[in-house]
Order: sequence, then structure tokens, then C-alpha cells
Amino acid sequence: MQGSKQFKRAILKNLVLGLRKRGVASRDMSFHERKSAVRHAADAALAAARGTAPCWSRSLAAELSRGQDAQLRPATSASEEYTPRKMTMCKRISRRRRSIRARPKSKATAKAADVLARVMVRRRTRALRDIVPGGRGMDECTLLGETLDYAVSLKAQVDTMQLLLRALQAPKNPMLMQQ
Amino acid sequence: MSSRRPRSRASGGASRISDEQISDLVAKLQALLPEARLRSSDRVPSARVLQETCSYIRSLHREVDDLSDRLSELLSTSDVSTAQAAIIRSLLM
Repeated sequence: MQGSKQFKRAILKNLVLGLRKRGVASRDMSFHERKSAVRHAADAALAAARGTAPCWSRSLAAELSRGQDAQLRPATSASEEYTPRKMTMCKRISRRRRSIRARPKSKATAKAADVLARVMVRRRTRALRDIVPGGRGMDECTLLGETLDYAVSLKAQVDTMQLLLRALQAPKNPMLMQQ
Repeated sequence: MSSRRPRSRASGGASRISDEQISDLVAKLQALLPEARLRSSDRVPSARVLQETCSYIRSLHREVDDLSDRLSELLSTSDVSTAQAAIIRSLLM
């Protein structure tokens, strides 16, 4: 699964425009300010290129505009606010766990393994919730779909930034768009 | 979307559908991961795939961070060739 060329081109265009807008090529910036601006531009470019369809993209865009208001808060991975749904989700998970433990152990081992696998999956999904923007408000199925989309998009972002870096470093062959 | 119908806990039928969707998504995540051994084997447990996915996304975050570093270093250095400076100016100013 790969991000499309169209998608990467959109990221690149947004990135260049965003970098221009933030004046990163000017001399009067501290290193931290400049890096923050570049990172911000990269994430904004990604979210804008992906659009409002996935939840992670909307959450990321919202987070970035909040960050901007807060005056260059260093960009970290999704640090979402506590949402009421998270509490309900945890309750549901612990309620399910209790009912799982209540099952008699005389059932076939295969079934028990199934159950354990489900529990492990739930544990790992919790980690994903903190990593994927907006992950805490989602049900498991949506979260996995969003994770898939998010991972593909992140890879496209990385590829695009590498391309830009190469282009800016190559004085003889500017903007070699070989892809 | 999710099959969070109130009847699903009692019947178990609806939760089976959701398990299928989840296995399908996990399979797709597995196909995405860069590690060849995880991709080739088709009996990798879902929890493992999710764990690797977490690591993968975290490493992508670090890469974006590193690339932001390098981009901003490139833009802040005055030690660039005139040709390079011209490119940077034409593209980013």
C-alpha cells in the first residue's frame, strides 16, 4: 500500500507554500523557531493534502491550529485532550474482561487462545490510541482503519520531505521530480 | 462502521462480524510493515502486528522530526553555494 503520486505532490506543494508563508528561509529566526516552523508546515501540509475525510487528519489540523494560537508549541505526536468517551471505552473494556474471565475453563483450548488474543489486541489498540491523532474517541474498528490510513500518509510525508531536502541540496539538478 | 448494537453482546453473532473486519484490517497493517519476516509469515498474531505498527508509526514520527531538523539546518546555514542559495530563494521566498 503506497501513498499516491497525486497525494505526495499535494503534500509537496502545501509544504513549499507553507514554508514560504512561515518565512523559514529568512535569517532572523532562532534554530528552535525555524525547526518548529518547518515541522508545523510539514504536518499542516500533510493534513491539508489528506483532507477532512479521516478523523486523524481533522484532529491533526485542529491540534495544529491550537498550537499556533499557543505560540509555537513544540510539535509532538498526538497529545489529545481527555475526552469523555475514553472513560466509557475503558469501562467497556474492563467489563468485557470480567465477563471473559467468568467463562468456564473447561472450554476447548483453541477458544481460550482466541479470547486471549482478543485481550492482547485490545491492549495494543490502547497504545495506538495515543499515537494516532484523535484516536481516543474511536471504536476499535475505526481506529484500525484510521491507523492504516495514517501510517500510509506518514510514509508519504517522509518521502516528500526527503525529496524536498534532496532538491534543496543539489545545486546542479534542481527539483528532480523523477517519481 | 462498528457493530455496536445492544444485542451483539447477547447473541455474539454481530461481534463475529466485527472480528472479521478487524482481522482484515490487521492483515492490511501487516502488509504495510517494513519488516519482511512479518510480511511473509501469515500466522503472525494480531497483537504482534499492532505492536509493530506502533513501533513503525513512532519511527516515522522520528523520521519527520529528523527531516525537519535537517531542512531547517539547511535553511539556516550561510555556508551554501550561490547556486543552492538561488534555489532556496526561488522556491521558498
